[in-house]
Amino acid sequence: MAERHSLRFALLSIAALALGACGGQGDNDSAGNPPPPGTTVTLSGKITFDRIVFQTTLRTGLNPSSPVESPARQITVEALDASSGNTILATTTTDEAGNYTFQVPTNRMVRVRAKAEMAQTGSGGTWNFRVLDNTQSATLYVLDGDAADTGTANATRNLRATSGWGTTSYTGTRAAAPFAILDTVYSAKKQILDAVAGTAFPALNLYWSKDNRPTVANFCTTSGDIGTTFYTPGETAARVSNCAPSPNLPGIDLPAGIYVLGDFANGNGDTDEFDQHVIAHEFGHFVEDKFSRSDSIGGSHSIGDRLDLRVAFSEGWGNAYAGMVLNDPLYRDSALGVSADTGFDMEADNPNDGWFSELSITEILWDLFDNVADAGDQVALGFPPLYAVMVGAQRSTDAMTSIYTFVDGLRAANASQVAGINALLTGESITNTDAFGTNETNAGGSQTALPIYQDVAVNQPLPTPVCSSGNESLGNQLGYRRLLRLTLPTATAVTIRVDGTASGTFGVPATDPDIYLYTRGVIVAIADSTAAGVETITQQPLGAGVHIIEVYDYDVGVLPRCMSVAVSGL
Amino acid sequence: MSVQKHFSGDRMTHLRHFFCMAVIAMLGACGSESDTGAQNTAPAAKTVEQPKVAAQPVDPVAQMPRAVGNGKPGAAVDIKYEFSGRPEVGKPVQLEIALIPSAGVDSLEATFSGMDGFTLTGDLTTTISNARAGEPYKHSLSVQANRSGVFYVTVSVNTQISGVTLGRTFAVPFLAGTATAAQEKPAPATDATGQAVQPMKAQETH
Repeated sequence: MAERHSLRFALLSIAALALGACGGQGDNDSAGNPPPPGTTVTLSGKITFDRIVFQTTLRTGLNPSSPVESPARQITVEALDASSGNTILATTTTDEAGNYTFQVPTNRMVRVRAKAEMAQTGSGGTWNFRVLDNTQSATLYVLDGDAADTGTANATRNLRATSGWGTTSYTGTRAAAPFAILDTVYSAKKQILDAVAGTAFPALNLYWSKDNRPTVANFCTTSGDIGTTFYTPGETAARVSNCAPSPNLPGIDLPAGIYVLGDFANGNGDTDEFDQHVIAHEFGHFVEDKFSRSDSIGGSHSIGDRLDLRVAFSEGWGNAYAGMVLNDPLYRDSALGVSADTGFDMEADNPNDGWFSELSITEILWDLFDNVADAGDQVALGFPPLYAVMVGAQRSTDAMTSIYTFVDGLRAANASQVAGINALLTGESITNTDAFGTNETNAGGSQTALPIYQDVAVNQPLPTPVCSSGNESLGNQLGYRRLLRLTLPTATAVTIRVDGTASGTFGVPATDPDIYLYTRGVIVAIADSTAAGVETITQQPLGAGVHIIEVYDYDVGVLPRCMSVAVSGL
Repeated sequence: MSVQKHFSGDRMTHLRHFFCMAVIAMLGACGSESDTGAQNTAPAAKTVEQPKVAAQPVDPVAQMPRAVGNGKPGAAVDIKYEFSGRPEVGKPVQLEIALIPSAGVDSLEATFSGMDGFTLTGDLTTTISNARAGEPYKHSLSVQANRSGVFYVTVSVNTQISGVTLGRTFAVPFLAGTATAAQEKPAPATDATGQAVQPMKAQETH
């Protein structure tokens, strides 16, 4: 008898060690062998979370009193040995309905743990998405069941992540939030996989905390002062004032990821965990960053803004991508706790038409995607052709990324749809032209927006100064950063000199001009010294082809700031 | 690999300026307790002129730009703020908040709210019709802390642009009394793999 117990113990120990060590092998050992019969039972169940959905009436916010119990899809589930320091006995992944199943030892105190993690390796695509708490040392959110004896019979254990909502506010742990975020990521991931099967996603962390708030002036991710929901590819402490003790001192690195607001603030705050369009918008930036190309300079933006064309496209892409992921053109963002929401309808003809408007870009991309034939929209391409441009022509264009580059690539790949594509642009007051927006006539009311690109040649100074809008505080608005196209027939070492020069009746000389030099969106040189009225890039080697020079005045004022531009070289 | 990592110091500083615009400015970081005027926006520091470092040959694929525009869309409004003095426990101070609409904003409405630990008095809502772009619309409130600590005044703003409404929330931070040393957070729990975890209790059924 004692020998049998010892043997059983040994077998269990071997099985447990094998399962715990390999993590992800489920109910088989590392050699793929099933556990011995009679020593295990099947533990199965369903993992769900409470999704708080929007009220049907616009602007009335979320409806926390009637959460929708939703499956937690493709998340990691573990069986933990509660009697031995939570050793992992088995690991598996939920299916599309949130179901899981694994084999666990009999007569063992076991706890089921669902992790806010969606991971896959091997064939069929790879990914690793996790939801972490940026205010608690980047801890991974996990949902724990009770420790209970597995006995000798198969059993069901369902875990539900509740919202924590009481009667009028959150009163309990907001366990549903990380899983709601992850589930929107599931939808966004699926959109990409449906277009390109087997896509290998770079790892992505999503940072959410109930303390993440839209703080002004202070930016510190570890305290929750994140400002807004945003995506970042990651920055070093030297480049971003994250938790800096003072504005001129370095802080800490900003880890890459999507940061999500969560502070309820007694019903006055902004929480985004259930705002699916917001989460998908940020995932759209992740997709753009990792699989496509964005030359966006970032910055504050709103639907009413007239933006730098790079920013307008990137944000319009984010909005439209969210609509495509959710197949819902109504972008809603909750506010005032859960009691209100604002947003826009991508199917509506919203104001502020033009190549500089993120909402115009949003509407065009949505109409290219959707299959609703409304006024001016006779195109229904679906997602794959649009994504093909994002990872193709948009990535390799000589111009800065914009609606022009995107549509140029789309037309080339969809010749039969050109008329419909052009109609959409016309409907948004955008000229049907090439990737550089040549001959665009919509200046958006700016004195300094057109031409979008001005050609410049070596040893041929521009005949008239280039002017940058003077009244600029954000750095990303229309007409501030002026673009010049330099086409080199052969490799050349160029010197670019910019001098503040008055122009016309209103253009005053730039007092602190700056220069950026790009090749296919890559910054190859910068000149941004404090020298008064002049800036120079000297003897910069450039290959044959198209290069983009960006100039603007760091100093701003009421009147346009103008500068002469000369490129010399041998 | 990030393109900026290859850059010289002046470029990094400039990109920091970019990032500040991309994040900090995006966040509406426009005021502080020490601002001398609500209408001033301090520009990011610039570098001293120095010789340029020739860029190394680059791999255009490996060095795709990283400054992806990144925040969610918000109301076309910015805010700046100023306290009349340093907030102290039991002593009211005036908080002046300037709401600054962007171009195209027809009207805006703002709601101001406090939190446990301080009392916020004054008109807690304001509506601005016929808004003018760039105009700072000032609103004053009284703030009195009941205890020491870091607090936030929440400002929720909705803007109307040709019938479209977008909102944006701002949290204005302030410190009342003396700063207390941040309490050391307990080490997070870890699972068997060493992953730091934050356990949340499930509602379990069988």
